[in-house]
Amino acid sequence: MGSRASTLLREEEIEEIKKETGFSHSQITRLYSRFTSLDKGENGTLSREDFQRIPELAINPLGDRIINAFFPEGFGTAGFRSSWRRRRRRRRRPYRRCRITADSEGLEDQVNFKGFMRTLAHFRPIEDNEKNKNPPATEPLNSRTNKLLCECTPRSLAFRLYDLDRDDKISRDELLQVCEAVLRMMVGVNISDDQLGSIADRTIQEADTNGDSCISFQEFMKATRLRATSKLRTVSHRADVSDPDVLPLREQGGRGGVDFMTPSLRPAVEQVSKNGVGAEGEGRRGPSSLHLAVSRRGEKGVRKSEVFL
Amino acid sequence: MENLWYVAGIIFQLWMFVVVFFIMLPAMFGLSLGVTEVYIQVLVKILEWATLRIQRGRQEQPSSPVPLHTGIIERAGGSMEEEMWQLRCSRPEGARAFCLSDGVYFCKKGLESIVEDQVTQRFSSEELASWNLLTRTNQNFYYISLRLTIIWGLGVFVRYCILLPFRIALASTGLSWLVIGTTLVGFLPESSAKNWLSELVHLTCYRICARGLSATIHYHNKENRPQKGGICVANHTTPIDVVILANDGCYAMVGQTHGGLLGILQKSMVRACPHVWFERSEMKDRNAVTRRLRHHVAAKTKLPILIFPEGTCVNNTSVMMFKKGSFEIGGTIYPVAIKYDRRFGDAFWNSSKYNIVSYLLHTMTSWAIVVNVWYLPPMTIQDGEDATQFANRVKSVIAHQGGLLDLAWDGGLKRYKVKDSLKEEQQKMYSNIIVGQNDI
Repeated sequence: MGSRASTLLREEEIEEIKKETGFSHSQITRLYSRFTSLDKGENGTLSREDFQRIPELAINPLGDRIINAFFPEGFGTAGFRSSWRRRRRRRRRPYRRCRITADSEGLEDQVNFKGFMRTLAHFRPIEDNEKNKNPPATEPLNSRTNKLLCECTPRSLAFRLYDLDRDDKISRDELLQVCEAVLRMMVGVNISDDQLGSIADRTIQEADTNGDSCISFQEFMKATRLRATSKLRTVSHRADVSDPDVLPLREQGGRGGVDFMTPSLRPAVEQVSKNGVGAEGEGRRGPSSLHLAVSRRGEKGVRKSEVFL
Repeated sequence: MENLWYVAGIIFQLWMFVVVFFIMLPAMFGLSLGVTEVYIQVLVKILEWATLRIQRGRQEQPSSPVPLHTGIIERAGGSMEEEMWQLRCSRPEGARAFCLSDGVYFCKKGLESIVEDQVTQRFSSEELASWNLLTRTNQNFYYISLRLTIIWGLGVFVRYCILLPFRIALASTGLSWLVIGTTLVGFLPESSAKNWLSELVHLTCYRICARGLSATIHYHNKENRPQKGGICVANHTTPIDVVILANDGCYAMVGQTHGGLLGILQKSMVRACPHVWFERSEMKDRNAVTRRLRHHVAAKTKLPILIFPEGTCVNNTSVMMFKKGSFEIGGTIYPVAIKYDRRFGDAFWNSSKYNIVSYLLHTMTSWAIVVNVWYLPPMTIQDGEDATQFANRVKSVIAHQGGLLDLAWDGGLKRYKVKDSLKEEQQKMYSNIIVGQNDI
């Protein structure tokens, strides 16, 4: 109990993160409360154990690699940026040999909230109007380096998970190795070596368009091109309430329970945020992108006061 | 000095008078004087006004934050297979083969679970849609209006200076009378009179304790109340669940023997009626536990056993995995669904954050505990069903009635990590998708 003043988020920090990552104010505060709930040690940073405490992540076959992505050894912004610059210079020297191992013994890294947001920012879909607005002025992380990153879906992270030594190409041997590791990781020990080999070969054949027996980033993106482009959805709460898949069952009350508050007052929040319905082009079941459905209204600094009173 | 004793004596007599005539006698007969109902109605009016005021305040100040209780991620629901097909738009449908985009699927799932997952949020208190004038639930502290702040201040005074001492005194009275009463009843020889008397003592004292928490309990479907020789299972949110259920019937409790105050309570209770207390060493031996419980259930004259199969406290938004041990005993299962109304006070005990004393302090300084209890029709294990399936069936019935989410995750994940076998299950599921037809 008591207040957690040391871990409260200040207004200027929110502004900084907003400028750097492009998340909105309410999204940042919401993600901050998620960050603090994961931070069991209450020291303002997350360790690998904190991530592994999420059961759904722990059972994910690629969970360990995803966790590695958050730590500076994985690929922070520095490594990312310089690897792109390196690519433009057409050198093939890898930036850093990263040790992505299945277990994370001995890697005592901690990630603070800024690092957490930076990694998450790689996967925030860019809104249409943001592309048209002044891209160089704010320069969020996504569009800083290369226009290929403007799409910024989990595909760019997935490429990094495949490309272990980070030379921006998945070479034949690399892919074979990685396919085996990934497939073994993903499917367990049910597949024989021959099957794995043929899977890897076939995958390269299909994805490789320029015939260099390697899968580059563009080829990867093309091979995993999605049906729908990603969009940031900011939908009203009312819309969320009606979608049974989005809303977990809560506050529905029991059957026949005594209702102390009149129905019109109970969902007080739902009536407030009607705006921010954004560009709802295709249906809300847009596949594969991380939609952050947050109301636009929360613009003030939030202090999560845990004072016992 | 003498004056002080005199005054203390007067206060004590007054207190005893109030307790005996206004609380104990009605409790013995299960009557209610209606004070709590009036209190709750007044509270509802105040909270309604506060909600309206906050709503108006938010409209006037568009910069104020809005609590988000609908989840931050918009998920495209679907099974693993469905979502993978959606990702593989460049492939013909039904091509069962590994694709680069499968890694994208796992990546996406992993990120979604980092931002918001279904399990860890069950182990902390749920957010409220609107502020209920308790500072501890005010996530977004900002000033709306003078009147609201005054009402809040008044609420603090009322809760801490008036209600809290009253409640503490009442609760300790109730507990001490439970100990004394059950010890006295324990001296009687075994007879139906003893059983009747012990039930009376238990009921009265639990009712006094419930009034000590300002608990308003609504029982539904009383015809399904657990009978003797049965097993009562319920979802678990707080240790107070026991008090809530025992207000309406007598149960045989199951648990570990403790030392200290709780141990005294346990020893005296078992003198009056047969509760099942286990030593710590016995608890490890599951067969011994099952045998003893089976013995208890087989004697059809004994009180129904009260068990919480989740094994741990969960935050009353969902029902987590039921451990199959309780369902292997045999006998009839009487499911009970308990749902707390969070607007008047959060009853969830976050045992990793608060100890029992601070939890009780929290609860006694909330407005009230308002709870709905549904008795569900009895269930028995069917042919061809094993204990796990039976447990899941009972769990879904309870979740459905209480309006709770039915999760298959283990409540024990609060304390320990997920088993590797679950990860292997995911891998198997994926390999079935791509290897299933053996057409690599």
